[in-house]
Amino acid sequence: MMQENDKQLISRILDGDIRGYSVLVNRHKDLAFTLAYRLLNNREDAEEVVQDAFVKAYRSLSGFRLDSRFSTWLFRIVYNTAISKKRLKRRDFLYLDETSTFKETFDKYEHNADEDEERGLMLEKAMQKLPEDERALITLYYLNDSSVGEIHTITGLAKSNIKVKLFRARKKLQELVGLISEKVYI
Amino acid sequence: MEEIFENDDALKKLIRKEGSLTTSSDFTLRVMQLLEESEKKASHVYKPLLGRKAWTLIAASMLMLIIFCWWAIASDNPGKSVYSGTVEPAIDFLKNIDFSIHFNTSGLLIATIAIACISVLLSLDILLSHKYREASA
Repeated sequence: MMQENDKQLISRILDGDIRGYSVLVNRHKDLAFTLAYRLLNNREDAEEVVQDAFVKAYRSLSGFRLDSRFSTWLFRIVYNTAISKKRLKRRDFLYLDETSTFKETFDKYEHNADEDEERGLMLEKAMQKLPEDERALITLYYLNDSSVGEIHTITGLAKSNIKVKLFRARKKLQELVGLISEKVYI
Repeated sequence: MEEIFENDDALKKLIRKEGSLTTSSDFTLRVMQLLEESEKKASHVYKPLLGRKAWTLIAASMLMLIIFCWWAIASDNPGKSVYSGTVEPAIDFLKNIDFSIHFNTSGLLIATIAIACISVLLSLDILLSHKYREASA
């Protein structure tokens, strides 16, 4: 149903209705942003990347094959733009710095946060402990319901590599959010 | 291993509820503004006045006009070229053709005006092509 709507919208946009694109942007912006953020770990950079990706997607919309999911096509652009941005900036994301910064935030809210906030912070903290590529894979796998094949199309990683990374990331996340006991896997 | 798959639904629920981030409130507006700007820019694209075919035709016409004028001047002064000395057409029947009917010596003036017009067009074309390339970049 969702896919049908995307296709109808794309046909309308290709017929010259530029306003129809705002519906597509609204529909996919948050997931695209989440993916970019998981790769870049910076809100401003992630927004810039997603903005660029939407403009690029609009310009090449006539080349989009309607037999695939629009989100898969869009996320491929987001992923590549984010990777390019990261290479361009040549910033090293120091694991220790990230976690210590997050720890401060976490500690600040820990005592006041309600249950939902606490769970959210716990998940965020756990996510920060994963490498960027695994964070991106988890986002695509759980939030976009992407199959291994679709993740392969988006990231260009080998399917076997995706399966290994996904398994490792899921295991780590479950341990970190307390869904399984850490000692089982030590 | 089994434990991972047993808890997968719980993890999925947690990520779906807490793992999605949101963009700033004016994000869509900014994207649409960017698109509208790029559309406006695209509708202002400079294009060359004349294509390659048109320029070839003009060049061929110019060449013919110059040759014609030359013959017209030569026929006004039989046996003399526009410069000096004598002109003896290689083919006999050309001696009998009177090229002075319409052009006379004003042919040279017409050719000069034509060349000046073409030069202006060529300059404009080069200028607009340059702007076109800049706009497309």
